[in-house]
Amino acid sequence: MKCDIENRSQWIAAYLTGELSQAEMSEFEQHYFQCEACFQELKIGRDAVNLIEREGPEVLAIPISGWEKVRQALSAVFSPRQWQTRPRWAFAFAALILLIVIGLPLGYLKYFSQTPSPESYAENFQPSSRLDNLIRQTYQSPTLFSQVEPANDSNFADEISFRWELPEEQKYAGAFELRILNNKEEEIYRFKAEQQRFHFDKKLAPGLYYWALLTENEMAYLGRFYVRRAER
Amino acid sequence: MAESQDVSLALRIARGDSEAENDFFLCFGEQIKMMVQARLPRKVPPEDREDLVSELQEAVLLSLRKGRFDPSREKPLGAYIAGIAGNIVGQYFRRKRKEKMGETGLRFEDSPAAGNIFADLIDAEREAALRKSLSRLKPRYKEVLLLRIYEQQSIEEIAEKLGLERRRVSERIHYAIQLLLKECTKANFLQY
Repeated sequence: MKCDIENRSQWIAAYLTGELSQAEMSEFEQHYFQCEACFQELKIGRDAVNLIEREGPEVLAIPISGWEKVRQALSAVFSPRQWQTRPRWAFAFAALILLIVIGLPLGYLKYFSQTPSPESYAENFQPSSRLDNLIRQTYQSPTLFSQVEPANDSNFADEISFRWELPEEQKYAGAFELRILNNKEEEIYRFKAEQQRFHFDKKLAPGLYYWALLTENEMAYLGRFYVRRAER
Repeated sequence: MAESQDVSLALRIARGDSEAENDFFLCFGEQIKMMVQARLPRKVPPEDREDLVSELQEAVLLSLRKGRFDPSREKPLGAYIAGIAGNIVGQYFRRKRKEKMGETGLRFEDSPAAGNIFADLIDAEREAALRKSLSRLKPRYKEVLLLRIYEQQSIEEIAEKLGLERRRVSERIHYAIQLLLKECTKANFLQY
């Protein structure tokens, strides 16, 4: 069949990025069903889209920056299994290290000049600079949640209530996973939270702790809190 | 007017010619897969994609066997099959919505192979050329491809983020894909 289509590559681009109306889509499908030239070119475009979908910044040779990548990188830190099975995690993680090296001096000063470190003499209260840096990133990016509790740097003596709310337009069918880490970045608890809250009633030693909410694929929130002895 | 190859095969299938069935899928199997692929978002699991392709192939075959496609009355065969593809994908999402409402849990696993049932069709040499072309794109093209395809942002969101008109974002994405296709054409990866 002789191809008489005009702007073939425009049709292909619009088809692959889902920008055609139903009628246009059907028209183009009707065409490539018989037109080998268009279909061959469409397959090349489809392969390119698949590569970008799978590898994103890596295949485009884009240095990773921004909160989305940081979130992915942190998911990799928390889930070595995912890291092994998904090569782009490794790349994101490498970029995270770079980000920390570059962003740490400024970020650390800015963050801690506003938040005096309590009981900095105690080892359990020493902050993790890596996790703090990631928290700092969250302040500069839109959050997934409309409300999150506890607020950063809240103090607790015993029980802790975690709560988070998604805006109405945000739909997530799965359960969140809540993880608690100590200030040495060691995971000490992990829970599946079916509802948008979790009541934690276990005993924690005094110190600084981090908590993260993860979806199946990435980290959605990172915060920190203190546990102190109850005043007598 | 002579019958086109697809119509001729369809009519032979309706007459019970099993050889025509094989020929039909040899000639048009990939196009049928593409029609499913184009209708599914990235996060649909690969096994579901494959099931949907099989479902569509089966539905097309049954329909042709029963002689439901009438070239004198119906639209062209490509559009006829696209219609069946649309119905099957629509049914899939309706099923998933019901499952979700029944708390059986709709979980789209974002596995490395998701959205990539054609990965095995990528010839290694062509893939290498594509990788090279992608890495050589100008940053402004990479940016829109990343936002639209990898991050699945809408044209409106990208326009707002980049401070561009919606039309300009679309044009930029189209032009980036055109450049890639042009590179591959130059490299003679298209043979027809």
